[in-house]
Amino acid sequence: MRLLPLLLLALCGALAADLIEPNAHPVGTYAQFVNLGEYPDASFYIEYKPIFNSTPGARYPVTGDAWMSINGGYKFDSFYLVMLKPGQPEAKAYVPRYNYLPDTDPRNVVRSSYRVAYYSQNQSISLEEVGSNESDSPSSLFSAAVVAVLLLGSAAAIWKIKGGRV
Amino acid sequence: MNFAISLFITLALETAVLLAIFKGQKKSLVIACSVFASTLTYGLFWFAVIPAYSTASPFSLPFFAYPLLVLCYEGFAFVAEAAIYKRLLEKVGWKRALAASFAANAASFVAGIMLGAIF
Repeated sequence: MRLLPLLLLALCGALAADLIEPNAHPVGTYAQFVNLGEYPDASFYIEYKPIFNSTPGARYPVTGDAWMSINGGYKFDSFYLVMLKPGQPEAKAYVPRYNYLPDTDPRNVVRSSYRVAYYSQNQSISLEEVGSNESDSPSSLFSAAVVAVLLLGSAAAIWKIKGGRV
Repeated sequence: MNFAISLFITLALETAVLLAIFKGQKKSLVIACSVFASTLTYGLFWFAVIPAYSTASPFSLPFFAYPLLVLCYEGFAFVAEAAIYKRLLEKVGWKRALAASFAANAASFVAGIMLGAIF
């Protein structure tokens, strides 16, 4: 009976871990691998690894520079890019996944492009992010244009109304 | 909420408050000053403060980080906008400029909270 409060607390913690953070919204993640053509003898897969299961989950083949969905499952499940080369152990690299973004970030989808680097000494791979929809989204360009027009327009109006006495 | 929509709501509210307070001034000058001051501070918040906060991995920051940031920004906007009104409007002292800036920013802050709760 003494364990009941502890069990309830543990349950509360588990439930709270599933809630969306305050001032945040859920987003989807997509990844693109731009230089797979540099490894013609290798095949690539996205591997889904559930957190509560020690065995790897499903694998989805990656072809060319197609956008791959890094979504699904539980929010703490992981995704990896797997490289298979004949006669060599498989190499894996973690693919970042975004579940939520703060409401200050208007994106509903995070798209990231990566370059794959292969290290023959230890047969491992790593990912280098080479682009995303974070910095050059049309909405932020539009917002910057709105601010620039309003600032310049109002400054010009003040200058004109005050006859250049500012 | 969308950047452009929230900026235009801010501009409309703050300009209305300033027009009501600075009755003896040229209306066109009050409108231009209001648009200039609000766009400057709002643009700074949107393009400098928010990206800095977002890059700092907001989910790992303490719960009071965002309210504290908003409080600091509102304090800055209050003083900066008052300074612009004092400098650009005719015969306006610090007291009146600060009071007008406080009223305008309070109106848009409350409206922002109310609209945020609705949308």
